[in-house]
Amino acid sequence: MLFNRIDSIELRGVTKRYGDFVAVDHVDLEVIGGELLILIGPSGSGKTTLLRTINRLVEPDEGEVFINGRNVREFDVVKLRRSIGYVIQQIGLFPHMTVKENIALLMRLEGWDEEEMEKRVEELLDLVALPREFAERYPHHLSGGQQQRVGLARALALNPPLLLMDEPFGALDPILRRQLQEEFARIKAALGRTIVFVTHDIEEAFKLGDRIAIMRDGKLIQVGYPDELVLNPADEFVAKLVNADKKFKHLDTLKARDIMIDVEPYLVEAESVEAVLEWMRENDREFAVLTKNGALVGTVTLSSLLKAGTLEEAIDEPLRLSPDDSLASALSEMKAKGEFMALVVEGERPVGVLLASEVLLRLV
Amino acid sequence: MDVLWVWESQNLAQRTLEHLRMFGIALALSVVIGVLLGLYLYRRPKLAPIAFNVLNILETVPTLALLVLLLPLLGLGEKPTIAASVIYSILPIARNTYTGLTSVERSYIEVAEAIGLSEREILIKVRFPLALPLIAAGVRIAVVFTMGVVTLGGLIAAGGLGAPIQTGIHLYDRDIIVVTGLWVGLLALILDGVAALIERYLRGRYGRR
Ligand SMILES: Nc1ncnc2c1ncn2[C@@H]1O[C@H](COP(=O)(O)OP(=O)(O)OP(=O)(O)O)[C@@H](O)[C@H]1O
Ligand SMILES: [Mg+2]
Repeated sequence: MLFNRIDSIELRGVTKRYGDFVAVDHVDLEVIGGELLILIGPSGSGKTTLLRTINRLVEPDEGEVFINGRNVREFDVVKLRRSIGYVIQQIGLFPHMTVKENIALLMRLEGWDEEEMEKRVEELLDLVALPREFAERYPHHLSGGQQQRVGLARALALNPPLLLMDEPFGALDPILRRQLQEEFARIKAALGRTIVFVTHDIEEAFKLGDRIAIMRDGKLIQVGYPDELVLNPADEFVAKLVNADKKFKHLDTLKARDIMIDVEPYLVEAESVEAVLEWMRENDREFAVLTKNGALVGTVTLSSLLKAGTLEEAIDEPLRLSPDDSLASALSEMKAKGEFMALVVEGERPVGVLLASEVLLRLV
Repeated sequence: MDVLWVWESQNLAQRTLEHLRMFGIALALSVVIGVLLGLYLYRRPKLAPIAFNVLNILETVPTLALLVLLLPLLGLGEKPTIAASVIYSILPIARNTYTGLTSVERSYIEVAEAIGLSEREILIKVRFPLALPLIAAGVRIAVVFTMGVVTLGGLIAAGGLGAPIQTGIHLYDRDIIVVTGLWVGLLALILDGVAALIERYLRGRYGRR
């Protein structure tokens, strides 16, 4: 490790050009040690490029990057990258290595002994909520969400004080994405690291971020705490981005049916844990809505299935809403019960899933 | 046709051992040289087109001509036979090694760089294992080449199963030719089958999915 803790990361006038195209345009940005800073902006706005200047996957044409006051160019590039965990959307687990080998790769290269590695891998699997038996599996036997968890475990292997995360949940279906966000929000405090996190999902930004930096066309438009952005947006673009509220201005007139997502892809009729697990594996899901003859039985998640002996034990009784419930009352009920999700049912038949977003919850 | 008579009189058990020994030595040398050459060319890609052109030209020399050309250098017997096998087998192994190493999906290399693997570590931990199925496919081609050349070695006193075929031709003895020929064919099939199994295992273990 080049550093045991991060006091600050400073980007000064960082510029990156590809030919005539300016991907990152004179960005000045400071990341405070210990915070989770969100980089958000439309596709192509230069988030990934900017992020990659920190671990020198991209060398800026102009400007410098400092970690704890030292220019990153002074560091050996391999050592620098080992001191920085990196998680990406495409996951990038090595297909020829088991979960354990993937996670332990850097430990092995750093010369850890077998016992230490074993212990650390188990610790990390626990942290990312994967059963320890998964250690011996190959990545292609895992669902997308499970692979993403392994990717996070691998990034944390050497205990780096800094994590770079590039849309880590971007490729997942909406419900799984929410599940992983919830989990990540829970372990974030326990991680106690400095994290730079790229997303283009404003809800994710509000949910996970301490501060939010907004980019457009390679420029940093504004950076600040969520309330600063909402109360004092630098321009119309920022106002639009953070005030997703406006979209829901007529909250009272909106009904659950207007913003629920289709339940169809999550419906499954099955009688046993194995059958549901098989279905999840085939469809790459970690969440299912169980029905019997079309009537709602309950919801199950992959992790509850893996822990449960029988299907009954794994079933959760979800909050039920009707399609005509007003959004405002639906949301306050969810907020009161601490649920991030509710099922919309017509009689006994599930018709939709309502995901409470941070933006919506702040309104009620 | 008296299979047993041919087997005994031509000492086929002994000949088979000789044959497999030459085959083994030739193949082992081919694998070592081919893989090393493939690695070397991966490190010096500018040389690759030239090297592969030369190997391609060697590949087009008929086996008999190559054996004869090697006689003044290496004399009669095993040596020129093994040398000729190796010369033919280097190309498929080196080419597949080179292609395997260079065609590893870019995204895996990017991830490896991003999490802090050095150039060398990427070669050993990522490129090489992911290239193994393709290397094995090259070796499998070499198995077939080697079997053929080692059999022809009988013509230049290399021993092995080429020798009884040679005798059969001299004596105009159909039985010897057919029995030995079939036996060589069967051996070739078995060895190719083994190579195919190994290749399949490696594809399952290290292949891209
Ligand atoms: N290696 C490269 N060569 C040429 N152009 C590039 C290269 N890398 C990025 N760009 C361009 O730079 C711009 C910014 O790319 P970048 O990947 O940083 O955007 P982003 O904000 O991460 O977008 P997304 O949300 O789609 O991931 C894009 O227009 C992209 O096409
Ligand atoms: Mg990006």
